[in-house]
Amino acid sequence: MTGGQRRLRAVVGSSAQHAHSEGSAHAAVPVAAAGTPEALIAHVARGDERSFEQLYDEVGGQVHGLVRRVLRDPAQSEEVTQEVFLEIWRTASRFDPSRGRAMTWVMTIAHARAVDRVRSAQAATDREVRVGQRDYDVAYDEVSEAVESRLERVQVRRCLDGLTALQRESLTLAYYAGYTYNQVADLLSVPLGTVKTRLRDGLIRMRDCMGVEA
Amino acid sequence: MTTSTDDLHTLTGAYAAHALTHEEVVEFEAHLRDCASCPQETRELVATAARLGQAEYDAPPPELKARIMTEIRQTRQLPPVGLHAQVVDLDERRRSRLLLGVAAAVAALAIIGGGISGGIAYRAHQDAQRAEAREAAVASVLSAPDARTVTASGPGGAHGTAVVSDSRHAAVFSASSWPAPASAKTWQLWVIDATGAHSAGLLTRRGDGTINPTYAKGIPTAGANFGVTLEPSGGSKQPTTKPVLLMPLQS
Repeated sequence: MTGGQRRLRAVVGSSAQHAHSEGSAHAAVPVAAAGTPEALIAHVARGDERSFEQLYDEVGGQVHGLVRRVLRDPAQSEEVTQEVFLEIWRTASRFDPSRGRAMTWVMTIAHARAVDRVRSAQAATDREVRVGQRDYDVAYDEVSEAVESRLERVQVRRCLDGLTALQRESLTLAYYAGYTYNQVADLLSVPLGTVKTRLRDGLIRMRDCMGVEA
Repeated sequence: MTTSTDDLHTLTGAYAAHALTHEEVVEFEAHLRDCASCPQETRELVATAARLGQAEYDAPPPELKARIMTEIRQTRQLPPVGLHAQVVDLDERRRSRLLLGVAAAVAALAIIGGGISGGIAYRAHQDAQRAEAREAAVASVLSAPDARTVTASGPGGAHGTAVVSDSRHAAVFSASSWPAPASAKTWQLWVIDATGAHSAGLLTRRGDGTINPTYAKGIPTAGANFGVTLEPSGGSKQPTTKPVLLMPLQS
């Protein structure tokens, strides 16, 4: 992770600073510590390019990392990363901190855009699903310099290991490979309803394992 | 595809993993409104999925940042949504549920937070600026105090929905389960009244059979209909085939 982010955690951890939040145009914004993604997005919503740049520095590696994980192709991953940040810029005013964390919002957009690209590529090849061609094993060992996301990854891996095989496969195919649950059912030769419930109880188990709060 | 209510409860995981088709997303988000326990679970699972994403890291190429910074300087930002005004306005259940199909595609009614509905909005429009203009136009109809919905069946059991505002002389057409046009053909929307047929543009059909919300202005306040015909690619000045859907916009 960047030095910026470490610094940021230190700030957040030490005191409830809210240097930038007075005079906030967003009455709904709970007091957001300066430099947190929440605070940065509130500023981006008001057209602040420097906050946008800072946000990019803080989360660009994770956005690009997830997009790359789903798409694999470097050129497409770059394009989609660009789309994601443009969407963040355009729609920052729609982010509502009362409904979830800023990082959830950012990563949800990133994942949605990556999956869109997968689906439109599929449409372009006449919805040809290349069953079995795709290496959908979780590639845990992809190079990453980022200590923090490596720690996060260790945790994700540990929690994934705690799932049943079918939960893990369903979640991996849907989330990391961008398949619809219908396609996942085809790939795994299990009924649709089974995939639905495995995705749900797999994510519930991940939530509990990682201690996620909405 | 229509899913039973029981099934919809279990879609929280697939929804959070973006493993639903567009149509299923619309259906699920409509269900969220009526389901007491679903929004909380959905938020938690969306947050969990995001954590899986956060664990990934790959530094973007350095030149990407400059490109993005250049592009945002040329890109207008969306204003905050007048969400409360719209939701209060459309509080009547039947109507709001019908509207939802249209609204989900334009993020006018965010159900579970900007990320997801905003995502759908963007998915529907690649061209940001055109999308923005259309979004504003569609939102102006949806938020009109006199907005009401009209439905009609289309070809092969397709469902057409229009949201009409007489005061704005405008309407928005959308549809689901709509068949693909024959090759070298396109679906065209018309406003038809006693004076004749006036093109309201070509319909864009997504892979899942939904029709992108299509805005039409200059709607007469009496005797107007939406009609959809099959036309040669690029559209026609006047309809050349019989409408496959004809929808009176006023009762």
